[in-house]
Amino acid sequence: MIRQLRRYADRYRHGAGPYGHLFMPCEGDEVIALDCETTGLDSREAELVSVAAVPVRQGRVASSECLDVKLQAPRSLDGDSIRIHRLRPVDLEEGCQVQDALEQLLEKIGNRPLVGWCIDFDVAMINRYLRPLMGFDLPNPVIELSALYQKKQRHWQPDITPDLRFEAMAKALQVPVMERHTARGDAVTAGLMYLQLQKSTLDS
Amino acid sequence: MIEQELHQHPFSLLDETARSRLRDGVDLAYFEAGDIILDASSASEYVYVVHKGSVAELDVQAPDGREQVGVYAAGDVFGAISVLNGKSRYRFRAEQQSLCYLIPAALFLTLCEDNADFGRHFQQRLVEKGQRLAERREGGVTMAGFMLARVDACMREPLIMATTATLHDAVVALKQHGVDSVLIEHQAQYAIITKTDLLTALVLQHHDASTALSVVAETRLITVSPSDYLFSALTRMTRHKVARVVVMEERKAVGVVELTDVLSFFSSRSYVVGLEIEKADSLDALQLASARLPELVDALMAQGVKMRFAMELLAALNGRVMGKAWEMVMPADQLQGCLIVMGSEGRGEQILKTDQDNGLILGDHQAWPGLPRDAERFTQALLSMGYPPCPGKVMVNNPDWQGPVQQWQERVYHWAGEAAGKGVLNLTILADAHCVAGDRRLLEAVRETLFDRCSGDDLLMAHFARPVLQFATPLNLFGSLKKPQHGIDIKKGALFPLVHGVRAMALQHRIAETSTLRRLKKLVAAGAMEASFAEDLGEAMELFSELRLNQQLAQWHGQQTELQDNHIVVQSLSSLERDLLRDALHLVGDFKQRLSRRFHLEY
Repeated sequence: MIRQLRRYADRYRHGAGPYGHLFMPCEGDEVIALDCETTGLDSREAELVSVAAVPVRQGRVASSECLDVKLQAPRSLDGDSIRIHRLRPVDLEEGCQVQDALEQLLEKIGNRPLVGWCIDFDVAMINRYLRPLMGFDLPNPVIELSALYQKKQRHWQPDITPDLRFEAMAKALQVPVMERHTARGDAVTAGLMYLQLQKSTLDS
Repeated sequence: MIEQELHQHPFSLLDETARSRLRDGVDLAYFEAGDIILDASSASEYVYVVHKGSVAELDVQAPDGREQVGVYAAGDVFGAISVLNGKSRYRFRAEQQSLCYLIPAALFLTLCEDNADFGRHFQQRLVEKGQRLAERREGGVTMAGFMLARVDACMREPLIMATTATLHDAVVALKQHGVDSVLIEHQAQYAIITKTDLLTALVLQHHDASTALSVVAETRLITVSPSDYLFSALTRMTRHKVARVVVMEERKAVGVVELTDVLSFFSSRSYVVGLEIEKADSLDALQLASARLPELVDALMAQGVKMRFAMELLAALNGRVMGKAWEMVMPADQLQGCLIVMGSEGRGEQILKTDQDNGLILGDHQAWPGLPRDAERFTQALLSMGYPPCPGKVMVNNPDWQGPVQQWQERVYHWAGEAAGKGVLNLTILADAHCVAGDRRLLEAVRETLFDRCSGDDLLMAHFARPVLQFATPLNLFGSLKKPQHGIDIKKGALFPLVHGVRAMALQHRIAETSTLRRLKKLVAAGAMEASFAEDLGEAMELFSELRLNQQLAQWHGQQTELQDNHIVVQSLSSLERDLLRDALHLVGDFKQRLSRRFHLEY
C-alpha cells in the first residue's frame, strides 16, 4: 500500500525528468534477471558488492549483453561475506562509484520487469542506494521466481510441497547452476529458471 | 559459465584472451524437443555448443527414414560449418530439451582468424582428424602400462659362480650360457664380472687365465629391487654409466637386468614373437607362441602404431602359425595342396583371434586317401591353439570345403546358379580366400573361375552386393540411447557394409587382392573410385577396427563388460572420437548409396 503510494509519488515527481521513461508501462516480452552480492542478508544494513543484470528474451538468456558491475569496497566487507561471494577488497579496487553503477544499471534495465530469486531483497538493496542519490525507488514490476515456481508446481505436481531453495529449484527445473554466488552466475541461472517456468509442462 | 566446455577440444586450442572474450560473448538458450534450431540452407547467426540434451542433424533432401546425419550431445559444437560457409547444409533439430551456448557468428569468425589452430579445426577432413587422434593417443592411457612395468618382468636369472672360480671358468660359463656377466659371492657380498672386466683383466692388466675371479670382480654393485619400476632401473643405468644392474631381494641376488633387455622391452616386442613362432618345433611350442599375439597387439597399439600396419603384421604372424601347424600335422608328401584361409583372416583384418575359416584346394591329380583323418587332426590342432571353430562349418574337416581344383570350379558354378540362396554366401566367403601354405597357383586357378563366372553377371552381382543394405547405419542411435549396455553394433552397422561393398566392387573389377585397403588402392587404379573417397574409406575402416579392437582388448584384459561383442557405447567415447565416428559413419552411408546405384539395389 505504502509502496504503491510511494510509486505514484515518484512517478508524479520524476515522470517528466531525465528518468521519465522508467515510469512508462513496459511493452514486449523482455525481462531482466537481476542479482546482487552483498555484505550481509539484512537489507537495512548490508552493503552492495556487485550487481548483475541479464536480459532474457525470445527464449534466450542474452548473457553476452550482461551488465556486471562491481562497486568499490564497502566498509562492512569482512571475512564472513567474502567467504560466500569470494570478492576480496583487492578485487574491488577498480570497482565503480555507486553513482556510476546505478546509472549503468538503470540504463540496462529500463522499464522492463525484474526477475530473480528473493528479488525483493535485491530491489530493496538497490533502492536503499537509489533513493538518496536519485530520489526514487525502482519502479519496475518484479517477478519473484520462487512464487512463480510455487504456482507452477501446484499445477505440475499438486501433491508435493515445493522446495523453494535456489539449488533445489534449479535441480527440479533441470537448470545447471552456473558459478553460484557470483552476481553474474546467479543472474544467468535465474534467467534460465525463468525460461523453464514459461513452459506449459515439466518434463522429467 | 562456459568454463567446462572451454577446457575441451576444440576450445582448448584458444589462448587465454580469446577464451575470456568467448566467455563474455556467449548467450544461452533452451530448445524444446522438436524445435528446429537451425534450418537447412538458412544463414546461421550463431555457432552452438550443446551444454545439455541432444540435437539431431537432418538431411532434408534425403528420402524418408534416412535423413538423420548425426547427433550432437553435451560438449559438441555444431553450426560452425554453417557460419563458415554462409549457410547451413542440414537442419538441426533438438531431440530432447537442450540447453545450448550461442556463440555469435561475428565473434566466432574473429576467433577463427586470430587463432589459426582453432580455425583449422573446423575445416579439417576426416583423414586429418584421424591423425590427430593417433597423436593424442601416443601420450594416452595404454602407454601407462609400459611405464608401469616392473623390474621382475624383464630380469634374467643371475649366473652365480663359486668364489674359487678362475677367469678361464668365467669365460667358459659366459660362452656356454650366452650371457654377458657373472656374479660371485665374496665375503657375504656380491661382486660382478662383466665381459669388459674380463677383457681389461686379461689384455690390459696381464692377468693369467687362472687368476681367481675375486681379484678382478667389481664389488660396488648398482642394485634395484624386483618391485622397482623398469624405467627407474633404466635411469640408474644411465646415471651410473653401466649396462646392467643387479636385482637384489633381501640381500640375495635374484636377477640381472641388462640394458639391451630393457630397451627391447620398451621397443616393439613383435620380433620376439615372430622368432618364437619360427623356432617352435612342436604344436605345444607353437601354441605358447601364438598365445602371445594378443599381448603383442596391445603393445603395438600402446605405441601408437597405425592400425593398418598392426593388422598386416598380425595377419603375417597368424599366417605363419597356420602354416607351421599345417607342416607339422599334415603328411610331408601332401604339402603341395593349398591351404586357404577366408573371412577376416583371408583379408588380413582380424586382430585378436577369430573363427577358423579355412579350406583346402588339392591339385587335380593329388591322391590323398587319409585326407578326412588328417584334416580332422589339423582342425583339432588349431582348436587347441585357441582358434574357435567356425559356426558355419567352413573348415578343412568339412568335405564341402576341400577337394581338387576342378571340383572347386564346379562348386563356383553351382553356387552362382543358386544366387538367391546360400550360394551367394559361399561365394562371398570364397572371394576373400587367401593362401597361407602350399601351392598358391591352385587358388589362383579357382579365383580365375570365380571372376569369369561372376564379374560379368550383373544379376548375380546385385545378389552379391545386396547384403550391404541389410543393416542400417547406426546414425540415428547416437546420444539418444537410453541404456548404456546397448551401444551400437560397429561390425554390422559400419564395418560389414564397408568391407562387403569393397569386396563386391573388387569382384566386379577382377581384383585378386583380399585386403580391403589394398582392394581400395586397386579400385582407384582401375578408375572405379576417386582417390580421395578411397582414402577416406580406408581411414574409416581403420577407425572402426580400432574401436572394435579397443573393446576386444578391454575384454582380453579381463574387464567385465556387459556389452555384446562388437558393441560400442557412444557416450563413453571422447568428443573427438565421437566426432570421427560420426564422420566415418556418414561416409559409410554415402558409400552404401553409391553401391545401391552401381548394383541397382533400389528395388
